Amino acid sequence: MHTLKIGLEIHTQLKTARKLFSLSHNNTSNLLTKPNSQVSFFDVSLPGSQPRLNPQAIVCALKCAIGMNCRVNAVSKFDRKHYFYGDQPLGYQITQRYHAIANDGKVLLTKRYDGLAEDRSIGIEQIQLEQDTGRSLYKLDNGTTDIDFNRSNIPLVEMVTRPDFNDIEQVRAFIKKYTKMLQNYDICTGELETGAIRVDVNVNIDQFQRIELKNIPTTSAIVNAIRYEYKRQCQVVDNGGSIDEVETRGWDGKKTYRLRSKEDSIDYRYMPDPELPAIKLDLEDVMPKLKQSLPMSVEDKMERLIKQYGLKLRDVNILMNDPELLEYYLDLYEEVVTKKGLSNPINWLVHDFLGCLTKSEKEFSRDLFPIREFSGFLELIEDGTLTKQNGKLLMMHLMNNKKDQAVPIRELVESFGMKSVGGDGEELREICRKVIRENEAIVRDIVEKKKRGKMNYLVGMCMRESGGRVDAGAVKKELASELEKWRPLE
Amino acid sequence: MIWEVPRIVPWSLIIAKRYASTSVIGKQISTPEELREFLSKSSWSTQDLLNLDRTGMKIDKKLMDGLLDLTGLRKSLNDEDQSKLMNSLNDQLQFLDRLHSIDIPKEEEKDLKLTRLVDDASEDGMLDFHKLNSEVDSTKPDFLKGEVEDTWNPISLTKEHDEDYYIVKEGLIKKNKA
Repeated sequence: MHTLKIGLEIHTQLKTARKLFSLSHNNTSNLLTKPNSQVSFFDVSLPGSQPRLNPQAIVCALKCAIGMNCRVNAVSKFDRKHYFYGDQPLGYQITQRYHAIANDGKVLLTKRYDGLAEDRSIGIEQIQLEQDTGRSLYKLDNGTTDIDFNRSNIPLVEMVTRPDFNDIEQVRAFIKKYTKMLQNYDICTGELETGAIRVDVNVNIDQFQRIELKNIPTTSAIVNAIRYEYKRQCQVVDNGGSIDEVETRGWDGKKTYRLRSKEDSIDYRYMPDPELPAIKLDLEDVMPKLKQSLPMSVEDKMERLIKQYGLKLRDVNILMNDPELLEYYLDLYEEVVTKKGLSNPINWLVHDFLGCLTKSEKEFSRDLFPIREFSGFLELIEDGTLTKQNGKLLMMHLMNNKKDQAVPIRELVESFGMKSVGGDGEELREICRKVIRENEAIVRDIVEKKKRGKMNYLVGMCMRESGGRVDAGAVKKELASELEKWRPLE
Repeated sequence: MIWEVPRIVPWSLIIAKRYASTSVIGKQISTPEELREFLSKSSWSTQDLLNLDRTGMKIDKKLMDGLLDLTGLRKSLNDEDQSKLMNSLNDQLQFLDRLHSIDIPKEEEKDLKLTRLVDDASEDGMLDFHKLNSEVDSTKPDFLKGEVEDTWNPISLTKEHDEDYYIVKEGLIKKNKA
């Protein structure tokens, strides 16, 4: 068994209104934007154009540093990293390799909030501001490349972790946690699929050199690529080989493949950028005020949902993944629990309501089932007017027939014949007796041969007989009482 | 009239030089002739500032080859030239390290404008929370920098394009990508 060591380098596109060193629009996340329509003279490196730092990017980078518990530097500076490529017409990228805006952070992955087997602390080496490149579209048929500079000069934060991961689940948890933090502080859209977050992974085993995996599009692809790369490196070593060269590899969906050997920093001919002044911050003033302006942290929000609202981690995660759904739940809770004193609506929301959305192929919107209607619906469940089973059917109906939401819900239940049969009513007793009479063989199995499992068959028959208007628990109780009195017909 | 030697070197460096060399303070210069005479002779050399210690050399053969590749210089050197070049590069690095190691008081640094950008060393331009936010609020795109949308068409600058895209005709050499 070889020890696995993983470190991450994550590039994050900042959600500023405008770009990093010019003030053309930053709207690359809009896929309908016409290519090369959001560019200034600097973005395409016209001679004589010069960079000027957009201060909004500083604010985003500082928020990120707070989220990653980093030490923020009072002075940070920009460097030029030289390499030649068609989507980088300056001939260099402006970055912060040597005097970054923040260093030495720490993120704690936990059992409680991240669902890991044990807590794990991940060190953050550096957070630096840098510019994105243009986008290259390779045309394989004629060997040319199309270039779109809309992405050129969009602000990025590059975050480098220490190689502190020793398990793939930790990587998965970290990416999720990082994404949530970015969304919570409104720093980035948090999408891996659109390239707003791009993760490079460094993987090595034992004391051997690291292999860098680049351009992996999704979290599941990252997990699969690490798994593959770990096995590949183990195989190399087990077959008597060794991994001595730092190498960059890609991922084709099934396997990793060699891209190139990794450059040394000297290959990039770093130099201080002479056109950009240092960023100088009055940390004693900026940091406390900025922290105060931020919303509650993700973990504090999770803790509140667990403690104050009594939710399970699984449900908390579902809500935290969708800020609009979370807000909807809080409003629903206020209406249903605080005002009406009914039960917590969480199961109806995340299991039944979201289940209906999936089945109906609809996106969540609070208009689909407004709070007032949802609350009225839950009242019927709670007072026994509607069984859970029929409740699910009615919910599906309401979601797909919006006009019926205007009809008073009790009226609707009556007109559909869904009103439940009371737990101690004569109607229920009659239904049970009828089912017992018509299924004598089963009843004999239960009573004489003690095959209790067959009871569920009778419950099902009762549900069918009543059209779902009986509660399964009440039926079971009634059936048991009737069966006690049951005697075979001579 | 008393002539002063123009100060273009920070005091800290002069002091460092004095500690490093054998020079002594001579008599005061009082005439242009004496000044010309003084400047015509070298009283110290950069060698004084070098601590020619070649034990922990930073530039080795591999790195030097890399640098020759990057600069496009000839690599076919004989052993003697190679070692001369390597020693020279190491001496230069040591000299720079030594310059960097000198602690120049902030005030002096400011006066001498030694920083690469004038305001790097000063505290002007230091951003507090209010200033940072008001800079964010006051940034406006500039027409003269092509920052205002739909005021120019970057594609119009190229004769050939693929609809709205620029074209790199020979494709891109992927191994150059960072």
